[in-house]
Amino acid sequence: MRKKMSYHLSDDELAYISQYVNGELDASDKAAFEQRLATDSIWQQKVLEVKALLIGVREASLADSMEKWQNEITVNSPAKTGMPVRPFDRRWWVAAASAAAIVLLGIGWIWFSNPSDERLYTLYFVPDTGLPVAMSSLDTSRYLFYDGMVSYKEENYIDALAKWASIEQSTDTLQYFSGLAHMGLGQMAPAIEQLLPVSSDRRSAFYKEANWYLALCYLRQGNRKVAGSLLKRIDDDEQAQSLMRKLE
Amino acid sequence: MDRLEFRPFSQEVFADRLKSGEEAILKTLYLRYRGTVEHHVLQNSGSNDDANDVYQEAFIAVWRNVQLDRFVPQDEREFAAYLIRVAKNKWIDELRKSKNKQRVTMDMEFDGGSVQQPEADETDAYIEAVKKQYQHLGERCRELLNRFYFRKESLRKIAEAMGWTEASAKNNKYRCLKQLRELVIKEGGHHA
Repeated sequence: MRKKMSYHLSDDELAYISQYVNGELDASDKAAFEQRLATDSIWQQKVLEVKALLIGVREASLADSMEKWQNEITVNSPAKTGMPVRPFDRRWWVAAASAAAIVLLGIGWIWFSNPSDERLYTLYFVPDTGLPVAMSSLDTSRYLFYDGMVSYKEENYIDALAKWASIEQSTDTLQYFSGLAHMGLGQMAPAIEQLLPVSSDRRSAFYKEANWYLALCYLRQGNRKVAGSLLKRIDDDEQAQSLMRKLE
Repeated sequence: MDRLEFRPFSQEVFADRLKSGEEAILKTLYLRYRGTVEHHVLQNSGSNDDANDVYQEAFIAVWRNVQLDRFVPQDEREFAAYLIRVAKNKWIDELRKSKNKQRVTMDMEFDGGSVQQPEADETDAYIEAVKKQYQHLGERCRELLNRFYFRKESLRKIAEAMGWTEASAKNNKYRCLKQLRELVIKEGGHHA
């Protein structure tokens, strides 16, 4: 494209060329357009300019979208300091470990003398081990799901959620494991949001598990009443019976 | 998994769909390879903000090369390898520019191989001018162009969302494009 344009681009030409560049012309119009493109050098310059115009529009839109996608990830991630990863300074590490030991002694005393919802949650919460992974699938959504499952199994819940977030088709499987990934991150509110629909769908293969984990979420939030009512739905389960007894 | 319904995303049409800029594909690709680049930057003296900046710059650069046919990936794997190499190169450039110059190790120089980015030409300069002037368009024009050229929404849907008839949505689209071009020509030193 020459910086100083030696041509005039009419409104009609701008409209027509933008239709071509954006793939809106039908086959016969496209053929006629390309015939002219092959022989008319001024036309070539005009097309190149309009192409660059539309690429600029798309890139500006992409930049805005990337910020949005980035914010979605940040919202789902634990707080980050924005600082580079650096190895521990040994002296600080020893001091921190000593301080942590004292704090743990204190917590332990409170823990065992005053059984809490949080303690029960920790006792009973064992993450779902996940599904077997079949990465050979050519189907992108399925591949993406299993790719996220690999991250989930590695307890890299942030990456798992990021990968699953790009699957548009929501299913009980996706909701269930997204809920579990949020639980792995200690995020009960989004976990509840994901698990709720699965817990009320009796046809779901994850019905029982979803109710169990949902009950644990509510327990962690201190809502024993709701936790208890969810456990009643699955009262044929030994673990549920055991927790219900502790809640009474 | 039986109840999942999957959309096709075959390798055969990967380049076409990428080039057309389908938002869903761009988002998928963006999210998939962000972690790899972030890890690399964090391991090499960078912060999360550095990682985001480098990754976003690389992603846009690669997508532009795809749209201008400077890079035609056969499949996602080829796209990803190129994207990650471009991002790593950009991070090496950043380190060289900063006080961390000494931290650019030999390993980094050769990790993943070098990648030749095309020289910026007048088309690139024009695209940059468009992106700059796009910010000076009215909000309605930006929304309209975004919906049509990036999100690929139909004129009917856009007309409904913006309270227009389909015909006026079409006219407004050309009017906004024309306005943007005039801004570029006026402010960017290009003469019609």
